[in-house]
Amino acid sequence: MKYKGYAGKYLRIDLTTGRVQPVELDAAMCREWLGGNGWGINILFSEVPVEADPLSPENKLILATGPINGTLMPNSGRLECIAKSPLTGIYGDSNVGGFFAPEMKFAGWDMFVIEGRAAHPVYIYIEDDRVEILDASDLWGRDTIETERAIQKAHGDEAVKVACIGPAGENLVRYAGIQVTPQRSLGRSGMGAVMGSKNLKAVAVRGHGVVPIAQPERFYDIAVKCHEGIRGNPIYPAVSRFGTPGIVALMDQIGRFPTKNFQLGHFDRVEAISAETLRRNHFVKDIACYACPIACDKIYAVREGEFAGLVMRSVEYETIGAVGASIDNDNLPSILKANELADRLGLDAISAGRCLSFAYELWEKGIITAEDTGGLELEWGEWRPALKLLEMIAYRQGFGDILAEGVRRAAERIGRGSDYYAMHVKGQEIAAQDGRAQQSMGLAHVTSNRGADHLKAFPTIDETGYPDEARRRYGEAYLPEMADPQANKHKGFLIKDGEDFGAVVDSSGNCKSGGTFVLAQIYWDDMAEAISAATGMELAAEDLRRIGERIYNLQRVYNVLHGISRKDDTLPKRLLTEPSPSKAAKGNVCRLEPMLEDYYRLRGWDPETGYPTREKLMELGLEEACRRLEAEGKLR
Amino acid sequence: MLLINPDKCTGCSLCEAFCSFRAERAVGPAKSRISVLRWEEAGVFIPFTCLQCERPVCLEVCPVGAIKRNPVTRAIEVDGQRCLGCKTCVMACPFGGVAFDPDRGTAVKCDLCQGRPECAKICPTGAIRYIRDDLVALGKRREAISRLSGYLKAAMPGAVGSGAGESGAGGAAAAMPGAAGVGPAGAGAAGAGGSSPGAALPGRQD
Repeated sequence: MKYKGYAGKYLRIDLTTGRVQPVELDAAMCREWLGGNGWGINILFSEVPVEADPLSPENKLILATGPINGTLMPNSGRLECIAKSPLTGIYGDSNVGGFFAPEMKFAGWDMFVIEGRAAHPVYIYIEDDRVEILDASDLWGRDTIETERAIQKAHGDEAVKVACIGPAGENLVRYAGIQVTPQRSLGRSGMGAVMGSKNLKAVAVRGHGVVPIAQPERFYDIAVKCHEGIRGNPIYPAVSRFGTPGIVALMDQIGRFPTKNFQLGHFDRVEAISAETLRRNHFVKDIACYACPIACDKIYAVREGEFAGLVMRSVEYETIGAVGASIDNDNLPSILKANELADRLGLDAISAGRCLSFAYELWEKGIITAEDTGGLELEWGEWRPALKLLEMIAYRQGFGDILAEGVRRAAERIGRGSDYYAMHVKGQEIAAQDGRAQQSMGLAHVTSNRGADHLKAFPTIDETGYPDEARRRYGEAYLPEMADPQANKHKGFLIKDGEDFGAVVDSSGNCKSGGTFVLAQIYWDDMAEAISAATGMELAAEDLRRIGERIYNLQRVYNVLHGISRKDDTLPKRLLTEPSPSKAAKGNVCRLEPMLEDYYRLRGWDPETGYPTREKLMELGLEEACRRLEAEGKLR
Repeated sequence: MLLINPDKCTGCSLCEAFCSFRAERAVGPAKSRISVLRWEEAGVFIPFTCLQCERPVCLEVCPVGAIKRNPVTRAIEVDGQRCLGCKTCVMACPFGGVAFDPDRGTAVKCDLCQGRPECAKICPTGAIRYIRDDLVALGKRREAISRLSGYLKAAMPGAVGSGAGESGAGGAAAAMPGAAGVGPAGAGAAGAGGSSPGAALPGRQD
């Protein structure tokens, strides 16, 4: 491989035949698609056909790194996982921090592409050049934390990094996640169910090599510049101190904290579950992912009451929303318990939480009764049935079996008008954001290629209004609307730019919760400089923009081939028609249409169908995408 | 000396990344002269490297005199040209301060980066600080007192400094002459006496 920064080779593993094939990385793959989800969509597009069921052996589970993973760059520990999603039936991916991706690079691998289905439960162990497919019969049925420890013990090395599923993945819960050392989650899109469908319990990796750097002095300078930028950023101290829970109270203020399944955008007892309360009562220690100066993760402990003795980590804004405000629950220790339970079971806490709030609202509306729930009484604020339901979902017991399908399918099964309360886009449950309180977030949810998602475009600039960041990134011309959460103007641009930049960040191995989006510190120029210096490919910011756009367009084309069109680019009715009753958002719905029109225009997509046009695809050099759309009669 | 405070270590591995980079122009903890020892379950992380002993066993056992003390930094250094790769030093060191690098075929160890240790420069929390040996105790005394100042302040409002943060050193420490950089806000910075030439980055402000 002529480029540095990469390990230079990847692995293809067929679990049906047991064949393991190392493949040299192709220079064009790096130059044109960077890594991570760039490689992922290419493999899905060319190798996983439209008719392939996501839970069949034909689907491919891809674990991919990028060129700055495992280097000096701040937050360079992110791993990207890609597969066709069993939750949405379209393009699926998930991204996680921790130490797995750097360990892959140290072991000499940029990517694992896993296909087929093992005859019995197995796990894959990779130590440098040694690759083994090992029996996992003893691990099947065990939770994610037990599994990680058992594998480390079996290999006599605590430094082995593990990506594994829990019972939820084994039981093909459509939003099962993959847990990654140390207890971080590849939560979204049901990647854990894909892993489970392959009879694959875990992938474990250990490496003793190095990531080569093309231009060491230049790379050192840009890495240190980015570290300095992050550590001098005005919100660095707060993000460090509180992690993502730090925004609980803020989001409540702007009416963007979904409560009672989006009936409200604020929580009247928010104090009880705020970051301050969490820190005061439960904080033990800051912990960081690889190369991260922020350390947004913490270890928390419950010191008294029913859950006394619980020590856990990875409590996020999202989980506090999902098993807290969403079900009107102000009992913080129970939220920590549910968070830990979801991690052990291997459930995406966001989708699981949204399934809970969906069920609770159906109970409130009388659409379901104790007969449906097997006797559980889903009264708002009652957290005991929520804990029980999480287990029932993971093991597909009783009513849990219905909720394990996700809200879209569950609503189809339940009927009786329940679909109105199913808060999803394209089958993926909506996280703790509300487009009525932050207009751009509504647009982000509908244009995300993996279904409802705040992280594809990750509009942080107008969340609570950061005019300085807006000015720094986009210039004076876009103000004041760009920093105004209720303005619709310029939000098509904000979302397109975020999606393209996010695609590059996810393909390079950097973190969107770090310098790139949450701190809005590292942007196109810094990424271009870092990638160029690490790899030796001279890529300017414009080249990266084009890569981001290519990735996003190819994902969209893949989705269009799976039947997605403009009709699917919409929000649940509630967010479009029920004005928010909450705080700063009061009286607003999400005014999607003008933003969406703006967005299609900027994307160069056909506004009537939402299909990428021939002109745009040719401009991006995506001829094969053109050809396949044309064959389906979907090209204009 | 490198003063290590595991309580402040978040386990981010930046010290290992920057250490390996200085030595190899490539990044990998396996090549780092400093290792973060991890007890994930408890969230305990201890960055550990050569202690630059005053009576270095490694130096004493080296049969060819390849290990010497740098007169300026006082770091114990391996001369890669002279080293036989016999690993006697690796076996002799009671702390794992010297490692064997199979690619070079020689012993390798921390040389304090010729007086500007990368690990201390990049450490975001001040878990690793580079401080003149003879000023360490003074710095620690100041830290201890600044922690106490919180209690003193509670007892006698307005009596001492401007109060301490929850993790100990806070306003009081910063207010003390020469103590800039001690405590959580002074990560990577000078430490007692302000003697570190390597201070580059601002730190976390807890």
